[in-house]
Amino acid sequence: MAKKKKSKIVLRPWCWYCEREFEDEKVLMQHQKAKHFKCHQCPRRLNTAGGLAVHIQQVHKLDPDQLPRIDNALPGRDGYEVEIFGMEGIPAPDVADYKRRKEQELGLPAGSISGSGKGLQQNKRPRIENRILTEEELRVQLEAHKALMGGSDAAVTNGTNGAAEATNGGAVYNAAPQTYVNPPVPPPGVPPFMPGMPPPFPPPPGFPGPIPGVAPGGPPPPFPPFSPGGFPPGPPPLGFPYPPAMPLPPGVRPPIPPGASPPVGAPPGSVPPMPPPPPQGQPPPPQHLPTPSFVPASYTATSVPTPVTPPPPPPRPRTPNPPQTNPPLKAGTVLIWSDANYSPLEKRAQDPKYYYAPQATSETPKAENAAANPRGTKRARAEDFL
Amino acid sequence: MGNQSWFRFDLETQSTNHLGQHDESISKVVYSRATNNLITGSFDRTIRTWDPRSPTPCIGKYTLPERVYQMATTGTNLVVGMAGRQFYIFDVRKIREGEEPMQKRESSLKYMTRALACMSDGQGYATASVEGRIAVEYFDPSPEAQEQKYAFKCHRQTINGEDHVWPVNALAFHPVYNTFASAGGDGVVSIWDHTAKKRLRQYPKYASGVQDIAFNNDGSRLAIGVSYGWENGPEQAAKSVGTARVIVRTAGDELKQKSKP
Repeated sequence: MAKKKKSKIVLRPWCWYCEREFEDEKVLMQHQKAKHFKCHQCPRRLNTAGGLAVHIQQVHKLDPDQLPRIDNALPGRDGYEVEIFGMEGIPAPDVADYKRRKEQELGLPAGSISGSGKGLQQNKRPRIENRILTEEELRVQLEAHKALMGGSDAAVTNGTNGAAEATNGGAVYNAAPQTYVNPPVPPPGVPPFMPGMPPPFPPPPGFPGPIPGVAPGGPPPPFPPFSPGGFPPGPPPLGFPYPPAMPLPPGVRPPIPPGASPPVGAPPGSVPPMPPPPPQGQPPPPQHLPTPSFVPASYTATSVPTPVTPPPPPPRPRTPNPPQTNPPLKAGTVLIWSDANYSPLEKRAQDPKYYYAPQATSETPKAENAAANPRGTKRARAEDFL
Repeated sequence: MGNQSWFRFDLETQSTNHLGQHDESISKVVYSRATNNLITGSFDRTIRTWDPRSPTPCIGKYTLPERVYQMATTGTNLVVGMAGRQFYIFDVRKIREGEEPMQKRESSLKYMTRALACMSDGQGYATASVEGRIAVEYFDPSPEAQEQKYAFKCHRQTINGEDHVWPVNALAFHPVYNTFASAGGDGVVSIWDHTAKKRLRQYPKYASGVQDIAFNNDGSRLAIGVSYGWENGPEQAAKSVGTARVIVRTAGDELKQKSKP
C-alpha cells in the first residue's frame, strides 16, 4: 500500500475493486487489466468488467449465471453490474466514502479533498489568451507600436539634427520649418529653389496663421511680420514651437536685413551665401511640431493632405507566351481559380496592400529627384516618422 | 512574396546577410542536398544557384522561357514548373547558361501548375493544377516508365448541384513512407498512396484554404498552413482576417502504405 505523498489535497487515481492507489490513470488501467479483468481460460485481458463478461459468454460459451467473480476484488465489489474503466464509472457514494476515509486517514478536515487530481490540475493551468486578434485590435496595437517607435525616432533625429545644425550654422534653420509649414505643392510659377535666391522665409511653426490666403497659393512673403526681432542665437532648438506671441529677445542679434538671411556668425552687410539646402543624408526634421495647441487650424489643414504621391501602379506581370486559355469545363462545374495566365500569388502581389515597389539599388536617381524637388522627397520621407 | 532580394539568417549569430537578388520576385527557394547549394526561382524567368559560403554567392544561372511557379528537387534532379504549363528537369550539378536541361516537358494537366513535389525515393514527382487534379509522373524517359504516369481528381465538392473545383495548393511527400499529402483551397488535406492509387486519409476541413504543407525530416509531424488564398480577390481577404494559422499535427501510421495481405 503506497502511502500518499506530500500532494495532500489531490487524490491519486485508485482502483474501485481493490482500493489501491496509482501514480496515474494509465497505470491504474494496466493494473485493472492485469488483476481484475483477466480471463481464466485464455491469456486474454479485457478493458472492463462488461468486456470480460461478454468475452467469457461468447468465446468460452458460459452462461451469464456461471460467470466467475471478479478476481482480487473487495467483498461486494466483485460483480459485473458496475462498469469501471480506470476512474470512470465509480459510483458516487463510493467516491464520497473513499474520500472521507482518506481525509480521516490523513487527518484532514472534511471536504478538503476537492476531487480527482485531474480536475485540479486543469484549474491550475495558467490561462493563456490564445485567441486571434481582430483587425481593430491589431490596428490599435500597431498604432501604439508606431507611436512608441516614432517617438524614439523623433528624439534621435532631433539630436542628430541639432548637431548638424551646429556645424551648418543657422542657415539650415530656415529649411526646418519650411518643410512642414509651407504648402506641400510649390505654388505655380514660383520655383521652390532658385540658385542665388534665398529660400522663401516662412513663418516659424508656432506663428498663428498670419497669412491664411497666401500660404497655399501665393508667393510667401519675404518675412513674417515679427521677424525683425531676430532669432535667438545659436542652434535653435529644432522642433520647439514658438509660442504665438513670444517676445523675441531684442538686440541679441542684429535685425536681419530684408532679402537676406545671414548665417550665424556672418558679419552684417556681407553678401549672404545661399543657404544650402539640407544635405541629403540628413534625417528629415522631426515631425512632432504641430501640436494642436500651437498650430492654427489653417496650418494643419494645409499640411494634412500631404502629397502622398501614389505609388506607381504595379506593372502587370508578363503574360505567358502564348497566352493560356483554360480548356472548357464540364457543365455544372465551378472552377475556383479560373485565370489561366496568372497564379493567385501574382494577383495578390498586384494588390496595393501587398505590392512591393522595387527599391532602387543606387542612390543616384534619388539624389536627382531630390534636387528637382527637395520638398516633395523630404515630405515623403518625413512621413515615415509620423 | 514580392521581394527580389534574399537573405541568409544565421541561427547561431542571429544575424542576416544579403545573399543576392533577382530582377523580379523570388517565387521559390529549394535546398539541394546533392550539391549542398540553394536554388532560387523567380518571376524574372531565371533560376539561380547559390553557395552562401562563397564570396560571390551566385554560382549559376539559367534563363527559362517562363516565370517559375514551382520547384522541387530529389537526388540530383531539379524539377521546375513554370507558367504556361511547362516543366524543365535539370541536373542540379549542371545549371548554367548554355547547358540544356535534361528534359523539357509539358504538364500532363490541362490547367495552370499550382503545386509540385518530388518523391522521396527519387523516381518521379507529383504535380497539381488549379483545377483540383494531381498528376504522378516519373523521371525515367523510357516508354514503359512513362506509361505509368497518371492523374486523378481531388479537392472538389458538390454544392447545390454544382461541382466546385478548388486549386491544389501544395503537395508534400512523406520522407519515409513515400506517400504524399495534398493541400487544397477547400481547406482539406488528403493523404495519398500513389503506388496503390488509393487515398489513405482525409483530414477534416479547415476554416480556410490550406496554402502549404510540409513534413518534418523524419515524417513524424505534418505542418499545415491555413489562410485565405486570394481566390476571390481583396474583398474576401478583408473578410477572412484572423483565419490564418499554422497547425502541426503528428503524422502516425496512417501515412504508411498499406501492404497487401
